[in-house]
Amino acid sequence: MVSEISGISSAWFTTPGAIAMGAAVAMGLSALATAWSQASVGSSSMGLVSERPEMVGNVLIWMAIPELLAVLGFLIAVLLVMKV
Amino acid sequence: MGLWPEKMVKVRIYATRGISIELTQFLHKAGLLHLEEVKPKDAWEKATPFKFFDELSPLLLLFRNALPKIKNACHAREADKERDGKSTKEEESEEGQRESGKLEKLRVILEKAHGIEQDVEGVLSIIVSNVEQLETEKAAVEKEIEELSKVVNAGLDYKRLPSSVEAYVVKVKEGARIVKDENDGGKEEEMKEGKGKDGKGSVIHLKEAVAVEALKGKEGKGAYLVVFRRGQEGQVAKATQTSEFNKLGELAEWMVKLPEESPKGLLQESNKRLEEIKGELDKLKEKLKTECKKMKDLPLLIEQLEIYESEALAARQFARSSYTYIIEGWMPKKMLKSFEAELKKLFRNAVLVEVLKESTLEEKYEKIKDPADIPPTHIDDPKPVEPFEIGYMFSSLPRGNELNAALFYALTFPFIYGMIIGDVGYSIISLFIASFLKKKFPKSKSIRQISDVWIIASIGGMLWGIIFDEWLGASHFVFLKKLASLLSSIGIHITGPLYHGFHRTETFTILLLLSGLVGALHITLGQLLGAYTAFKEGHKKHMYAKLGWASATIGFTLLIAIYLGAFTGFAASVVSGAGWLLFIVGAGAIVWLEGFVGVVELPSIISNTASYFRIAAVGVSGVILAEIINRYTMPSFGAAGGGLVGVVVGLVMTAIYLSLHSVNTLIAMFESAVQGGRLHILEFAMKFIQGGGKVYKPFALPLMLKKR
Repeated sequence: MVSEISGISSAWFTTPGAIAMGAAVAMGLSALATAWSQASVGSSSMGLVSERPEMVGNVLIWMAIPELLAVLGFLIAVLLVMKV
Repeated sequence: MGLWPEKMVKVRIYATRGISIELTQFLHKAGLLHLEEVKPKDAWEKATPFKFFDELSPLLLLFRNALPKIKNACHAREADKERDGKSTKEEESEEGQRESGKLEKLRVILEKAHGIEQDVEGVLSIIVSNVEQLETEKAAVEKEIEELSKVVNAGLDYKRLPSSVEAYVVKVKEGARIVKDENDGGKEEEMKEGKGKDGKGSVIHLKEAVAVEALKGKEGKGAYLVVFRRGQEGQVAKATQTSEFNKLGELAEWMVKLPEESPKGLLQESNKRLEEIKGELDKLKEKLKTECKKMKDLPLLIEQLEIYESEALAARQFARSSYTYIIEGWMPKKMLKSFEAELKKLFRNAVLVEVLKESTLEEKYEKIKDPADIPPTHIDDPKPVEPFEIGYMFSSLPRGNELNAALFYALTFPFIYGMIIGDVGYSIISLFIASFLKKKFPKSKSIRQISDVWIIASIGGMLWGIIFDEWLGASHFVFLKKLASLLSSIGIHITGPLYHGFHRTETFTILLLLSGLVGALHITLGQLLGAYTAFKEGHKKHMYAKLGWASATIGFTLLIAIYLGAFTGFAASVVSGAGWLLFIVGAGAIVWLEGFVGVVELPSIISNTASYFRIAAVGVSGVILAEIINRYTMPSFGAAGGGLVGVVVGLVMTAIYLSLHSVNTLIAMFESAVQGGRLHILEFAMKFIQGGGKVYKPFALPLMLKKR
């Protein structure tokens, strides 16, 4: 479908360059998304910790939550590179 | 084993007023009772602090305020060392001397405190009224000397300035110049910040400021300027506030106001005064030295008084009637009998214990209206499990009727942490790092706990490292080959790897599925524990819902396994049937019991399980980093044809290699702990713990609390 619209041969999508680009996009975008969400979680968390230092433990866990996006991005990137 | 938090009982103790203080001292020493405020009712009124508090409080106030100043003045580091050097045994014996039931000891301490009171006030007056004042004066004189020295050392001829002017001596930074002025042959020049006439240095416009005269210093380096206005001192003050004058400050290395009197004379006077101050200070410090010796016991005295202070203040939580004191609090049920026996032995019939309430697993916490009726959570874990209680710091303490999650963390955390780190070398390095941290920060409870967790979990890392055949990111065969010549000299010949591991970068898909399987099993365990808790609480609906989730998760996992071809033939059809059955029954139960919310939440089976893919992802990212380190820094002693150069290069390479792997280990330790912890708290423990438990804080002596 995409190849019909863009005029690019479907074989192009399986070339090493295209796969590498796909992996880079998967990893890069998911890392950006993680960074974006962690920035807001982080700044709010620091505010909370300055008021209530005993909450630092809880905050660490909440900070780690957006990392799932990067983890999944990494998985897709690895699977693409390994041509699974 | 502490599968559940300790059973607690709420007791009410009635005691005759005559023994109230002795009883409070006994409770303090016993360190068992989590005090609750007794509500005044009928003939009961709220009790007030014991009377000795009135005598003790002003002393403590004085001592507490004086201690930091005395510590500072008397070089208390030495006193601290002396105090720290005191063994725990000595401290225990000191506490042992506090005979319960008698106030003689308090009387002795108070007399000692009154005796030292005058000395403390004397030392304070020396420090505050003399030493501190002299120190302040000394600092001011030293600053004055510094400024005057600058003015004198500038080597300018100040005599030619009229005595009535206010002037500033400015040392201009190299390259900066001031071009001016109205007195300069009467020629008015327009001056702006920028390049000077000769194109060198900055030029500053001092239009508002009066007359400026540039004088060259003795040394001829830089320009010393005297800025002044003849007469009209008020205008000078105004001029110094202008932006141009401030800019002069920016261009200047320093700027000092020229004193009206001769700077040289003033400098001599200041130096003399400084010597006098130093002499007076030395005398005072000598005097202070003798006084300080009397202050040696002050910190210990404060500690002793604080014990009595907390006992006196504890009475605020009691109630009293004309003849009795009433005390209420929670304590572990298993200690009740010995507690009662001890009370009987010490106070005979003057004390009566009544059990008000007992914590049960069926307790409906949300229905308890009075916070004092909520049993505190007291977890008594075996020693190897204790470090895993750190999990409660990251989430919430379980209620008294919820399972002790730390026990399960101790079982599953090393497994999952080990699977993420999955390297024998890294696990050994992490063992050393954790042991070092534990030794380095012995007083920090949280660092000690997390270090213990790392130490225990490193065993899991080693086991998984053997399975994955990862030894600092490489196969064991790589190292065997390096040691081949050494091993052959003792008769061991290496011909191939000892075994073939399950290297993570080569079998990533399998690792991914394994992570998912571990996740499904972990989540299911959480759901089953949740069902068990609900059963114990008597929440049947919750129990069935939890079982439904467990069934749906197992069913879903079996169906995925079938889809991936994990089973073939007859086994496949049996497993497939079982999978569909479990999934349909489970999903049906969820929808039936939880309604629309259940339908919406059903896909969370996938997302929760997918969350465990991080085990594979984080682990593999660590392996990739390790492989990069190996590729570029693997030590080799055969460089430059071997010999001494080869050995030196090899040693340097080894140092770099180990340093980089240590850094990677640190990252792996942190990531594995955070990601493993997250999986345990959010994906696992939240299935069976609601949290919000009340912390058990018994009324105990500080040393006992420290030991806890």
